Amino acid sequence: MSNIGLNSNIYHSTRAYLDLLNNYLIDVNYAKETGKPYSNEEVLEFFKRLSEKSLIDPEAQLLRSFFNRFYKEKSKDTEKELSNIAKHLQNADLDHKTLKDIGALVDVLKFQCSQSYARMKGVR
Amino acid sequence: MNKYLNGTILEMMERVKTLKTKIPVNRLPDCFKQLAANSTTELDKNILELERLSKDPRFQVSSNLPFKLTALQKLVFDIDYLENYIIASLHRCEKEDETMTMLIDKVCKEINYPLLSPVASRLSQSYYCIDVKFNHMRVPLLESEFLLHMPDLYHELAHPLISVKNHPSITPFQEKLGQLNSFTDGYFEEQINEQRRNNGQQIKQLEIFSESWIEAWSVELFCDLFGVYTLGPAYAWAHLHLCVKRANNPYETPKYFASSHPADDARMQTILFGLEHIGFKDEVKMIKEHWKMYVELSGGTIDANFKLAFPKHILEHCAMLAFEATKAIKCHIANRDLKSEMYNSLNTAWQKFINDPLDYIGWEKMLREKYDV
Repeated sequence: MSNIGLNSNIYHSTRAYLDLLNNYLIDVNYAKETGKPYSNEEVLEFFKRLSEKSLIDPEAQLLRSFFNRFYKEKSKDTEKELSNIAKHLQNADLDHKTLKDIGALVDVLKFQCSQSYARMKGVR
Repeated sequence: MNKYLNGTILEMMERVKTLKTKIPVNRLPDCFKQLAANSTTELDKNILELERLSKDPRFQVSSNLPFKLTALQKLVFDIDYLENYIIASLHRCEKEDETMTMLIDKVCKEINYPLLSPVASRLSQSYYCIDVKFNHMRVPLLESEFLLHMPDLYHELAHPLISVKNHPSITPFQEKLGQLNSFTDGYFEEQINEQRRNNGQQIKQLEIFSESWIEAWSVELFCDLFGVYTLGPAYAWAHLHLCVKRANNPYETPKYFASSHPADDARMQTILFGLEHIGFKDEVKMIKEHWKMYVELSGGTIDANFKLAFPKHILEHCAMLAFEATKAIKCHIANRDLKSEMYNSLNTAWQKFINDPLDYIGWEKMLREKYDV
């Protein structure tokens, strides 16, 4: 059985949230240079959703599993880290560390996106 | 570098526009028009996104160029994919693709599939597969002419049930999968904690299994079970057939990274739990015997890791949840008295093959001629 159906799902999911976080970082950077306002809402919703203890949505479970692997390698607690990002976003307190943390998650999604894309095209 | 990126964007825009001309609108069969329309919409979205990257002032400041590069590269991925798989399928669409699409539509109607039936092309280089975004199923070149592997298309039909968003008719299916994921997550967490308390050495292994379950195995097993519940025994036989022809160790478990497919024996066990649950006890017995013979021939042996990765109670729980999921979306559950055409053709084909494998080809050929395939 091919794993294209599975990877097509992973690709489209990770791709959508990669766009969300990448665009958010672009807005933040631009605001720093120009003072133009931007919205936290969608990104905050994303982190709040992933920090929930009892996730039932398979797509959110999948994304959290990817983040979980990343945090485990760094001996960090996923729930704590994601809640912490959500807290900073909620308080509009975007310090350097929070932005770096979001940037690291962009890299996680970039990796998963590229990997699933390669597998959709038949590369193992 | 921004100038260079903007030049690349213009080049990509030309490519996307040219792609539109490769859709042969005048000779596309009706059943392919949905795919053509979706592709055109997607190409338009890509053009807008490329324009945004080249004109939106947020993408022109130097601190944002790394993010602009990421966005551009992902767009190039999407455009390449559209060109190589979706537009290529439209461009090379033939009569047999239409036949296959109609056949899948017939299956969807028979099982009361709650989504639009996918468009099919015979361009697959890797067995049966489906693209969930474009609802495009790809099958091997000869697949519309042979019956024994056709049950696998029922597996592919289940993938969109998991990935399509905001569709109330299929939400219950996704919720049941979510329940399974929570259950396996809890189970492996307990196992890992117990290992920690006892200085166990299998923590890494258990973590890999836990990730594999959530990221892939639960999905693949749910899709298998959807096949079992809507088609019955033919699905289980097709799994045996695929393994006999192409598989290696039926007890294989991942060692270093999460894997995409559960071990073949775990799949067969789960499939048979499901089949027995819907009343095909005699068939389960027969398939079990054939599976046992295959496993012996393959030389595969069960090991401790297999038992660790695929505890029987999880496989059984998976079969029960997938049953509830399939019923909840109102798909017709297979049963002995079902009279529908595809159900009968595929299950009869398998009965014929099992009763007399050497004589089967003649029967299948006759059937093909009857249906003018």
